[in-house]
Amino acid sequence: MEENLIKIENIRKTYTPGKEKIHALDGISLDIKKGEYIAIMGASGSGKSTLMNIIGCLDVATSGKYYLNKHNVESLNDNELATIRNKEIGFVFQTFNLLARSTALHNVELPLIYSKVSSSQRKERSIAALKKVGLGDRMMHKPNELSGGQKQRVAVARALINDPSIILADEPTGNLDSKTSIDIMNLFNELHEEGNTIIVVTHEPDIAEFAKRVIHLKDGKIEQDYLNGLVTK
Amino acid sequence: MFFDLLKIAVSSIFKNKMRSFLTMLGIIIGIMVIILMQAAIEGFRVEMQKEINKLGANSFLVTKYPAMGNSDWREYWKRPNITYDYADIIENSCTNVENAVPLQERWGQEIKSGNKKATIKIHGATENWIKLFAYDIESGRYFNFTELNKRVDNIIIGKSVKNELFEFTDPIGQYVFVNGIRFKVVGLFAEKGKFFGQNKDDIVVISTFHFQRMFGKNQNLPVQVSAYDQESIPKAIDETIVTLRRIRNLKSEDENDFEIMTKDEIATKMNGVIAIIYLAALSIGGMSLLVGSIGVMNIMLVSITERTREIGLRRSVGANRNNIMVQFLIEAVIITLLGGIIGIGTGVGIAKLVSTFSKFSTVAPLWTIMTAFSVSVFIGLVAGIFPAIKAGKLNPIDALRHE
Ligand SMILES: Nc1ncnc2c1ncn2[C@@H]1O[C@H](COP(=O)(O)OP(=O)(O)O)[C@@H](O)[C@H]1O
Ligand SMILES: [Mg+2]
Repeated sequence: MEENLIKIENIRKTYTPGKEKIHALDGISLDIKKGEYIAIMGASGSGKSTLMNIIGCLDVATSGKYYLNKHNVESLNDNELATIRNKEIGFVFQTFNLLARSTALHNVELPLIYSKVSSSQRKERSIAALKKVGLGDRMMHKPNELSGGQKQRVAVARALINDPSIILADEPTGNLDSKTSIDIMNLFNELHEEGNTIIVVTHEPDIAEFAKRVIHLKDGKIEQDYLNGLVTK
Repeated sequence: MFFDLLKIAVSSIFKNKMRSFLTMLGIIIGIMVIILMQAAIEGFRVEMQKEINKLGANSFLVTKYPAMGNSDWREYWKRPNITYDYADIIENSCTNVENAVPLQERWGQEIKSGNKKATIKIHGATENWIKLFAYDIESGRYFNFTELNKRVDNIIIGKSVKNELFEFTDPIGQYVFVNGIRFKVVGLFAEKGKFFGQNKDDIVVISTFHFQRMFGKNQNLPVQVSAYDQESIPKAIDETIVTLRRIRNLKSEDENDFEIMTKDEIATKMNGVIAIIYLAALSIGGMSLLVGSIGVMNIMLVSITERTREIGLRRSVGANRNNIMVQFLIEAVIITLLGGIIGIGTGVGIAKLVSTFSKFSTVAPLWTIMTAFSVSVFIGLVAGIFPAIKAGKLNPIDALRHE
């Protein structure tokens, strides 16, 4: 019996940068079970990042309900949200978002600092995570000494380090060439096979191929939600 | 946790050495200025105390004007002068007084020899003068007892007078002119050096006879009175007061029209003056620190704007508002603390150098250093709190999206 990891009910996100209101999300409802591997697709501006940020507790919805692991996210205060981001969520960004002047090792251990893990433990776990993503020989390198693919591996290691309930990747291959993109997606495949729940945002169909379930957004609404292989393109 | 945030703060300071140093500069200068001024004032106080102590353990002064007075000068102006003769009268009529010496000195006088000139301070010699002022004879001799009140045209000169008038010749036996009178140099004092920029070697000593002929017999001067021992000082003071009141024909209801100054009183007055100098020095140092702390605040704000994405990233991996706030607050405090330490170091170093290479002695007491420490930390907290709160308030997604 699979349990619901995420339950989203009629979420809206409205921006008012000028006079006109922008409905970045316009009534999204979604259930995600533990162990799912989902690709979110859609044109630029369709609301993919907005949805990811809300799922990742980086942003809050204007209205609607969001349950993560049975927590009612809207009722949480800043500290509790920080704890959720720390323990439950592993975020991978298109632009890597590594600390430029810190080593790969320090970048990976960052989440553990905020969960008060001792420094020896942190080091041990970060080394293990870097080895797992194939960077055992690059631990003391700084981001400017790493290739794009290697940087993204560091970011994936960082996302994994605290053993989160869900890994969120917003266009993780957007800044990578196609060969490196496939390497990174293979890494996500491995993680999925180990039982991790993964959501990847992409607008490239090739990348979405890797996921088991695909959700299409259009103008802030879910246009399609299907399992890969069951629907013919 | 705190220790980890401390490590983060320290490493970001060291990853940006140039900027951190420039930020510290204001604090470094402010603290250095305070330490230096403090050292100079303390040095001045020590030297002044030495000078006061020269008064002799059992001595006090009789003067017309109060020491470093702050009240109406015109009132004291009307008082009769304390003159040369008072010394003998006091010495002869007070049983507890060992001796009373008139301090005859005039500043800004001119001495000539051939076409060379020098500005000097003239002392009128008394028997104990050389002992009282602690000068040594380098060559020649001091006055004999018989010369003091006679018309003897002898003069003893200080080292810098010799250097200006007789640079390459032996001054002994040479002739000089002071106020139109020709004197023969019979002695040369050994060098004494400078006391707070004031030359102690640009002096000459002439006989009381000549001193009075030049400046008048009834000029005002301080008389230094010495009791036989510590216990007899109060009695000596009482006797001196009685004697002076008698000379001045004061009625029992009249107030004294002269001042008795003991060492303690002079020291107390001096400390009052030093306190005022302190206040001035502290306000100058405080100003530079204020400017410095505004600089720290400014750079912290700039740094937070530049590092908005870093803040966003930290928030996205689980830092809460407090974590961010504490990180930046620690950073500000460490910057000002380091600035303070460098300021203390350079201040104390310069003070040491100054006292090593000049007679201008400076002292940086421990309490100043401790105060400078705490002030640095305090400035860091004050200058850092506003930027730190600002950093903590950034919302994660806006911070991450910051360009
Ligand atoms: N902070 C914001 N202020 C105003 N409008 C925003 C903001 N963030 C996103 N939007 C708008 O919301 C819509 C969805 O954006 P986004 O979720 O980033 O799309 P996607 O990731 O699918 O390209 C877009 O029209 C975008 O302009
Ligand atoms: Mg996007």
